[in-house]
Amino acid sequence: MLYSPGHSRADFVDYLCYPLLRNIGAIRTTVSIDGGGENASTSAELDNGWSLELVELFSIPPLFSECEVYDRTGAHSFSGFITEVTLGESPSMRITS
Amino acid sequence: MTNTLSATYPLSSYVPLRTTAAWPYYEEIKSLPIGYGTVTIQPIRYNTSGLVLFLFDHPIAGVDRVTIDGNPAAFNFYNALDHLGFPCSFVSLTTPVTTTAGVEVTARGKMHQTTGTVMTHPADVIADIMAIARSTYSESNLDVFRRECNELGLNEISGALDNNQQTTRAYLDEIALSLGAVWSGAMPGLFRLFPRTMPADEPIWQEYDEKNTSGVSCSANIRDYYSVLKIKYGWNYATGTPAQAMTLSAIEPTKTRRVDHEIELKWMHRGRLVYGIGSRLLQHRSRPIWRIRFDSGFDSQGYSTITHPLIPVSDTSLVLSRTVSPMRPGGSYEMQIAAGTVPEIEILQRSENF
Repeated sequence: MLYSPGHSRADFVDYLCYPLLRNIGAIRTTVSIDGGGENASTSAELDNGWSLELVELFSIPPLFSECEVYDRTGAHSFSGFITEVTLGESPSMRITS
Repeated sequence: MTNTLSATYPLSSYVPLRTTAAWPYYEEIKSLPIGYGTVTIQPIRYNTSGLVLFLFDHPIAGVDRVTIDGNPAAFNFYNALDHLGFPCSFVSLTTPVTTTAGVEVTARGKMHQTTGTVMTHPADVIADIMAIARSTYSESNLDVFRRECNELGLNEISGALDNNQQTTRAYLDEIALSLGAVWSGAMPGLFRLFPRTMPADEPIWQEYDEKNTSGVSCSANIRDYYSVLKIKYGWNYATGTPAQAMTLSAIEPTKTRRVDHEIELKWMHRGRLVYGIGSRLLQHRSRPIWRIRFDSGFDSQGYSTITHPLIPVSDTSLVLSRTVSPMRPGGSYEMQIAAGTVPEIEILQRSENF
């Protein structure tokens, strides 16, 4: 589990937890006029940490992994799977429903 | 660096094929095709009686089969000059064909001007197409690619240039895809097989690391991923359809999702070679691919090594994208490196005449 530093992780004691989440972007929902299907996605800005933990954690990028997003109150706000992982000076990942 | 393909004819021009309009009379305007290897085409009626059929706009090695509406027909093959004095290839029939008959001719195409053998080696075919397209690219520049093809046994392609409304670039794309290769006029060697392990005798252009790069990032996207590959091949130019298909699958112990992809290897006819090319592609694309982008003042146009603390993989690979400006030194580069273990490949299905 990735969580924001200073944020409670009491509900996720069964998971390996990394304080590497910096921000969750806006949830964007669009419909395609070529078929009308919904496409919802959001992005997660990540923090590589001083020891570049993400580089090791994502050495095999977790594409297609299911992903749940919770807000600061612990309420569920988005479900999807990871469709893109970016590493570098501004690491991030894209989550698509 | 200069683009070695700064030809008088850009590769985005239509391939300059002659058409039937060059003849004193013709039934309809058609491109006069150029054929390589063993290729099946629909011939063009050369005279009104329907007894002589035009095959290619060059002499050929021979004709293996002529069928009319699916039935074998007796024929006599010959190379001769057309009305305008150009050397071409023809078949004459004992019974005339109507304009509506479905005629197919399987022929052994253009011969190499030095060896006299049927031209099937990819490097020879590409060099010939570049000459037809009036490119200034030298045949010797394909020597590295020729060695790569020989190393992997990719020494036989078959196909035709049959449409003067298709660009030279599009034909080169067809051949590159058929071989599991990439090509660029700015790349030394013009064509390179990719993906593949680096050839043993390959020089390394640059060793990139945190000291000579900036702005390093890498991304992996599901768009680059597939785990099942359906390959259509054995193109029949008479019907405009592939004659065979093969479906390959990556055997992954951690496979969680099946993603299908389909490609056409138009210039490939041998199942053994198709399996090799498909396996190469699938072993690369069924793994997460890191697209690594960076800026550097050190140029590279070939195999290079990248090692950087911000990226999780370190390997040697071909530089696939290079952006340079004449106004400033250095450039931006992209390499692709697949993560994880190389999967085994299995044949799921193989079919003919589908």
